[in-house]
Amino acid sequence: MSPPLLKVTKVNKVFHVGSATIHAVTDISLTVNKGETVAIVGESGSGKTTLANLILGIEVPTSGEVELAGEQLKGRRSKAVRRKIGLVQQNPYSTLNPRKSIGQAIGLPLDVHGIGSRAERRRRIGQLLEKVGLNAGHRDRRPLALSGGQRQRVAIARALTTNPELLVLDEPTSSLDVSVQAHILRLLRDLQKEFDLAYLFITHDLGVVRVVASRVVVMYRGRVVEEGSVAAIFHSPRHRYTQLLLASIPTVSEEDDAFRPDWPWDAEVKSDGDPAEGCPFRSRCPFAVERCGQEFPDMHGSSDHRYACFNPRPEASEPIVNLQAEKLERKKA
Amino acid sequence: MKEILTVKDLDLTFDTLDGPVNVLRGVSLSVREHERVALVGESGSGKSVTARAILGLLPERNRRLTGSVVFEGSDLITERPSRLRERRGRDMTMIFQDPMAALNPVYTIRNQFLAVLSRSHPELNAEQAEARMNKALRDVSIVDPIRVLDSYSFQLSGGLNQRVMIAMGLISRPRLLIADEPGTALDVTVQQQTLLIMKRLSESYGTSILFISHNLGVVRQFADRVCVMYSGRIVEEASTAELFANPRHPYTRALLASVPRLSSNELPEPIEGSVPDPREPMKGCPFKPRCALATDECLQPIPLREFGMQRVACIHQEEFA
Amino acid sequence: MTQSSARWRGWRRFARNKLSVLGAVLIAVVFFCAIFAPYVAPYPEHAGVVVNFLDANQPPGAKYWLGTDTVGRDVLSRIIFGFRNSLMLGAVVIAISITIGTAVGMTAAYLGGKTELVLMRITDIFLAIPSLVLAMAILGLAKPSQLYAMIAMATVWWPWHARLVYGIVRSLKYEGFVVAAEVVGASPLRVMFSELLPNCAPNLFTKASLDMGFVILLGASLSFLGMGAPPPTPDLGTMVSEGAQYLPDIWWLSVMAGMGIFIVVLGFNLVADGLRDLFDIVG
Repeated sequence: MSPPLLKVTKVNKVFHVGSATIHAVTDISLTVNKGETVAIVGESGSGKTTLANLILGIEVPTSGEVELAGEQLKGRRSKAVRRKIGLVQQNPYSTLNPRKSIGQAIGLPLDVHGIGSRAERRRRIGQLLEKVGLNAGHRDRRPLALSGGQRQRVAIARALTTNPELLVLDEPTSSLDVSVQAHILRLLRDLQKEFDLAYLFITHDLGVVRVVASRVVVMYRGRVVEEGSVAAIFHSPRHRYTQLLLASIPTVSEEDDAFRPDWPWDAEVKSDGDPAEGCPFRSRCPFAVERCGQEFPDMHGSSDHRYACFNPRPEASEPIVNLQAEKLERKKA
Repeated sequence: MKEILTVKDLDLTFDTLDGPVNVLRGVSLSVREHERVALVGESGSGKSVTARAILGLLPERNRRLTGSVVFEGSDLITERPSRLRERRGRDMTMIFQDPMAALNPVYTIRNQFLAVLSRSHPELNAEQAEARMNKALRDVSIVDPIRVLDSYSFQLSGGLNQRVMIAMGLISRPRLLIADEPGTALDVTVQQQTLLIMKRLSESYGTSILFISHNLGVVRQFADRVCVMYSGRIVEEASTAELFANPRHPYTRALLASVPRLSSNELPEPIEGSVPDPREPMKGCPFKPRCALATDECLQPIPLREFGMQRVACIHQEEFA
Repeated sequence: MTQSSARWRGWRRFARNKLSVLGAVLIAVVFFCAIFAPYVAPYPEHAGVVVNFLDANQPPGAKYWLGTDTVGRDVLSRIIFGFRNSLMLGAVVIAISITIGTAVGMTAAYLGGKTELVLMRITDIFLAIPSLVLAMAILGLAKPSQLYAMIAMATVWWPWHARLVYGIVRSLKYEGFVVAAEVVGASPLRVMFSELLPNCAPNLFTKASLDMGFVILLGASLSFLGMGAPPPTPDLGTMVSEGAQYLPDIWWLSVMAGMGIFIVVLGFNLVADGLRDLFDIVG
């Protein structure tokens, strides 16, 4: 078995803002293998952005290690390491410098790493533009002239300039219309196949997770609460937060409805405020037990599906689809 | 059920440096009592502009607006500005997409709430106003209203701010609430909670809701009736159940096909081509360049035709019997 | 839209603003005079040492359109050469000031931490002293001359540019494209020059135009106080000063020179607003 491309081991990141101490990320470990797509799911405050920053080298872990292709990444990264990772950001309207042309934006990594002569660079930029579905002639345009979807394509082209092995995609389609998102998801899949890229796909949209990722990591308040293969987790979510996430998805069909667990929306729970000890989800969880307030749970489960919960959702014996289909049948009869 | 809002043939053109831009091309829709109507579309469809046109929030100059917006008997477009101001914020209110941006960070919530309250209920004294505000906040499931009233918007989470906005939007018991992408700026779990609150309150207060969204799933959960907009026009209108079970317009079908599904790991289908440039004049159906069923007849102006309870602006309906 | 068509739209927007166009016309006239002074001025030699007591103190008339001064020099010619002087002064001062100010402001904002603290406090100190007083204090150290006047004014002016650039860079430093450049491995110097500087340019140009007027005014004030270029250099401020003692009888000296200052300052101010439109590429 080949070693993982990206290995994050027990990483912690603590910020000191004024007199407050913020544990942005606590005890996170994950791996991404060559050519696979791992999704990180979380809402605001989950720490997913901090985790991305740690992997990208924008932040340095307070403790723990980040390894890329077997090499441990320290504070100052070598140019060689930087070439291996590409970044695609969320906001297509701020990811490109408004005062530079598309060609200049894509050419920046080539400039920084001194790759190729002027003519070679020009050719490469044209190549990359074609690869992401744009015209090579676009290189002299300014971002102002492009739509959101086109800008994201440029961002993807820029991320591919140095032939990276891993792409970190931070909510790459969240700001796009759904039909444009469909284009970009296809493009990403085609590129992944062609270049054998690994994707670390950060998103809050579980529908997108379902179609792009093979493995998913669910984060809440800086911790991993559930992780495993997409199939296992969608079949039978165990952690209560995952249950809440799935129950909150606005689904568009009855087949999709069947994948939504129930959630007691009217249950009385305290609003706001994150508790200091124990499980951070406790304050929103109608299923919390006493132990939840004392310590954070260890991971239970198999290598394919692990979760950190003292009172998890019971394992679904049948795939949810079948259960729901039964309900539908009975209704129709 | 009586119609409280009837928009007919709304046509809006902006005069820009690049020439006239026709953003709304004959939009007609209606909202009845106790009804929740969704206006769905992607960027460039004109849905947000429609909401602003209804509320009279368009820029004053460099624009031409024709058509009628009849709210409770009077046409808002021809209404005197002073009367319009009176009705707006009282009988017809609006809540916006980003709660952090909509609330003023230099005033406490109480201050802002009082400003709203004094317009709708000027007769209340301080004590009564306080009681009203407390009740309004409790109605949106805020368990500690006094703490919230004392706070500033930046001290509260996005979800709380959104609920405060809903409370302020509904305190005058308006006939119509217009919600622009409610919950879009929030986490999905918070959004779900917020929408359930809005649903519950609209039912108990008898307020109709016109809400703008790009999210089909939210629309399906929340609306009684849906109007699908494309390039400044309404292309399909139906009850929610009908629309999702049996979408008729090619754009609606394509849009639904582009949503990722939980039930399968197949990539969703994109829609070929792109949204037409509103600066270009357009003949016939705006979706023609991207439509698999398009024929030359589609270059003729396409009216909304009735199919039972549905209305569709497409001449190729027989394909989907 | 390509780079060039974006610029074309900018010019169209500029042209829409009638006042800016007026300003542009005024400045064009001033520049023309400045560049072609020896050919435009009716009596170019009057810019230097000339003694012509026969024609001294002539009111505006056919021979000398704006009159003559106390030693018989043509006021119009001296104003035209005065424009050349003023523009040169303004250009040099602003060039120096923008260079220093941008370097300080950008470095402070982007690097943050102690660097930011130190640099911005120094900037604040300079800003706290009224400009004229500061300039005079520096000039008091040496004999009055054009060069020293320029140095003194640049010293007064750079903090404003530093503040401006500081504000812009602070708001931009967390923008997507800056982070993207950092992730790629761009050095801080490259990020500042290649990503941030182009975004400061439009504001700097606009401010430079606004400043031109005020720098010229400041220069005229210093000359008025006797701290500018020594005679016989034709200088608008000096001319106002010289003529002041003869008001209201020999009014044309001060008034005409004053009008000259007025036209230059007004022109640049009107253009400044329009310049913003020219560069307005909404990101």
